[in-house]
Amino acid sequence: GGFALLPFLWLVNVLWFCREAFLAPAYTEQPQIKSYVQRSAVGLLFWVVVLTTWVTIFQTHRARWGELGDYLSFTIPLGIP
Amino acid sequence: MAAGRGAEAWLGGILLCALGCGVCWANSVERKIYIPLNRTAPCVRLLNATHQVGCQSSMNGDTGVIHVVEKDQDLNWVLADGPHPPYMVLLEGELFTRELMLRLKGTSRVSGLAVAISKPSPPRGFSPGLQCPNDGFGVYDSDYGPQYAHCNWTVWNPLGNGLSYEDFHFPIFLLEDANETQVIKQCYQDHNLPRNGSGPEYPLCAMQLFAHMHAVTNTVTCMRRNSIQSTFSLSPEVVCDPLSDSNVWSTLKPINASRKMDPADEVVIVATRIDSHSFFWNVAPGAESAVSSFVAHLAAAEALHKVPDALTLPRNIMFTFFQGETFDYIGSSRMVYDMERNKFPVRLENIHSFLELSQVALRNSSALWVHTDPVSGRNESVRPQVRALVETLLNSSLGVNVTLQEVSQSQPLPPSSFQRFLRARPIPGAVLADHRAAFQNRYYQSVYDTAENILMRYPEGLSPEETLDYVTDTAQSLAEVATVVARALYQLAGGTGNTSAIQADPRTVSRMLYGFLIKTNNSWFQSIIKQDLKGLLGDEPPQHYIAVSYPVNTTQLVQFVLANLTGTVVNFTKEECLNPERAPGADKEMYDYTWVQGSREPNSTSRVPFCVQSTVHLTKALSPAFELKEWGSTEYSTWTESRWKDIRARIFLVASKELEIITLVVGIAILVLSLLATYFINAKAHVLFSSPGDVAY
Repeated sequence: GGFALLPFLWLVNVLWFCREAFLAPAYTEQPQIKSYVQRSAVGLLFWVVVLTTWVTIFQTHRARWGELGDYLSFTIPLGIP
Repeated sequence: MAAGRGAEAWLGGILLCALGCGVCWANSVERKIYIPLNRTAPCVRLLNATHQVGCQSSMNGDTGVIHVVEKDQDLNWVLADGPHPPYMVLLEGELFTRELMLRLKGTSRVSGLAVAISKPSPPRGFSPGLQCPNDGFGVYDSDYGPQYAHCNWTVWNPLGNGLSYEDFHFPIFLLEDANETQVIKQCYQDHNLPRNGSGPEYPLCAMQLFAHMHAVTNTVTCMRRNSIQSTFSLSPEVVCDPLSDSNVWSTLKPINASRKMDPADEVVIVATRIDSHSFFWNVAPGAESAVSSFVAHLAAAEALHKVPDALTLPRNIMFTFFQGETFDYIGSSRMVYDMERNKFPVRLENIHSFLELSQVALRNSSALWVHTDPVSGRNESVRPQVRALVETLLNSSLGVNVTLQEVSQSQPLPPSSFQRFLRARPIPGAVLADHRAAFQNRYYQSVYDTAENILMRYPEGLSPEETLDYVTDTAQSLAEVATVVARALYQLAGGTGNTSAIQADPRTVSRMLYGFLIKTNNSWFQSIIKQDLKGLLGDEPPQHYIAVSYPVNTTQLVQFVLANLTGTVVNFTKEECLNPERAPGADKEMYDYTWVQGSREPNSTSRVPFCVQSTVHLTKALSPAFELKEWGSTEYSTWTESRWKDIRARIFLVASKELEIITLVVGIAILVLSLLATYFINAKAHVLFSSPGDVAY
């Protein structure tokens, strides 16, 4: 589902269809479902890595970035740099 | 059945009553736990272009076990020995020094500080201001008199320890009421002192201080965040405000305030500052640093308006009261900026000479010193005018108990608004002060710069009315200074008559000193203000801090006093006074008309209001840095004050951490137990609740 930017949809995909794709007895459509679940899992993993890295960098370096940090922030905390 | 329903109704009624009363009862539980401290003043965060100064607390307040420090050794308990850090230190005012504060700043065992104001004032003096006030914003820099820059020649405030300009990461409060300090000390003695050789045990007396500041880093950051918030956010959250207010100015001969002055007209400017500061927010008695000078200025203005040929003098005289001079010359830099851009009726070319009154109340053996600028004194075109100005001043003190002396011509000017005018143009001028080199004021910009500092003493047993009119020695001395200033101004403005008739009234001076230093709610101030501004007057000594919302009480009171002393009463009705265009003979462009409430009729509660025609105007005193949006400016003042939500202080007893954890664990255990019990009872309900007559299934 989606083009390339729906990691939460893929998470739901993986969790909901996991039982159908891997644990249920085999039926004709199962290989197709299995491939979709695997592709969702790969996409999800990719996005988890990217977002975790960005969030870590942003949280630790926002104060040091000064003006850029303020323009990138949605909510700026009060009273701390 | 009917009885059952009646019982249900009764039960419902009782429950409703209990719920309603529960709201009030909950409050009394809070009152039993916490004792609020009402008479306190916090230290807040101020920011300028490069730094933040002041204090900060955590968002939900800082709590600590109280420890009273009355001598230096008590501090070791806080810093090293005490077993229950962090501590909230209650400090005697005498010990509030830079060394102690730097020691507290370096440790993490201190969560806050409460300073008890020391009565009497510390005998060796105390000044949290800088040793070189307003350094870098005056006229002396690397291009203009480099040997005078950064107080290389004279240190003006040698007692200054710079505490107001340090950054603290814990809250600091001032305890103004000695009774509250006693309550805290009593709590400390009851619970926190070690007993029988062992350490103090829980429960201990603790204090919580709330003073969370929203702004950080510096003015550039907080103003940028303000603009981001107001442009992009749905609910903008402003974090800081620039310090701003209004300057008050008035002229001897009325001028058209909406048009510019003719280039051939000349003006003599006389200036004083009207604000001060201390380490704590909105505590700024400023007796010697501000009040003494502007009271003498007001008295001189009154004396000059009584001179018969005042309106025919060749040059005009402009009485200017600058606000915000404590914070890098906010008021005077703005006025010079407006003059340069033709936004002010008077232009820099119109200024003939400049006279400023600095601190003038603590004259040592009647000496008053005349300071001039050495660098412009070497300028060939300005030098003779400066000499003439000084000569005029020295001649004006004949017959008055004031010995005017000139300081060495190689000494620079003290921190004064005149320096901002010199930055724009070499103008001949002088600054009058009671100090030759270093300040006579040992409490410059501190909480102790009060009426006692300028030796205002009243005899015992006077009623408030009698105290208002009693002429103290200080009032007499300031009246003499005002007389000298008035005579000098008359001659500088080109007056040729006999000056010995020009005298400042000591009674007016003493009324002003009482009003601006002891109690603003007196009968004279009540009679000269507008009727809807009665909230302006209070029973506590007034504070002269510039603040961020304008106009502050001091500016308004100076405006009304100046209007009363220099204006004339005109016979207009209230309708005509409030709408001068409808009044016959009123000139809205030249004059300002105010409807004041007047004094009380004898044996009556009603007042006799009247209309005052004066030349008093207000002009905005916001630093040009904020107009130009140059928030990192090094040329103009960039001081801002942080915003905050809640500032309060309270004391209560705290229990040990172990007791808190035990309570929590017991509570969770009871919860789990009750859930299990409910589950089992539910599962076995058919076994537990079967009645003998039922059919078993």
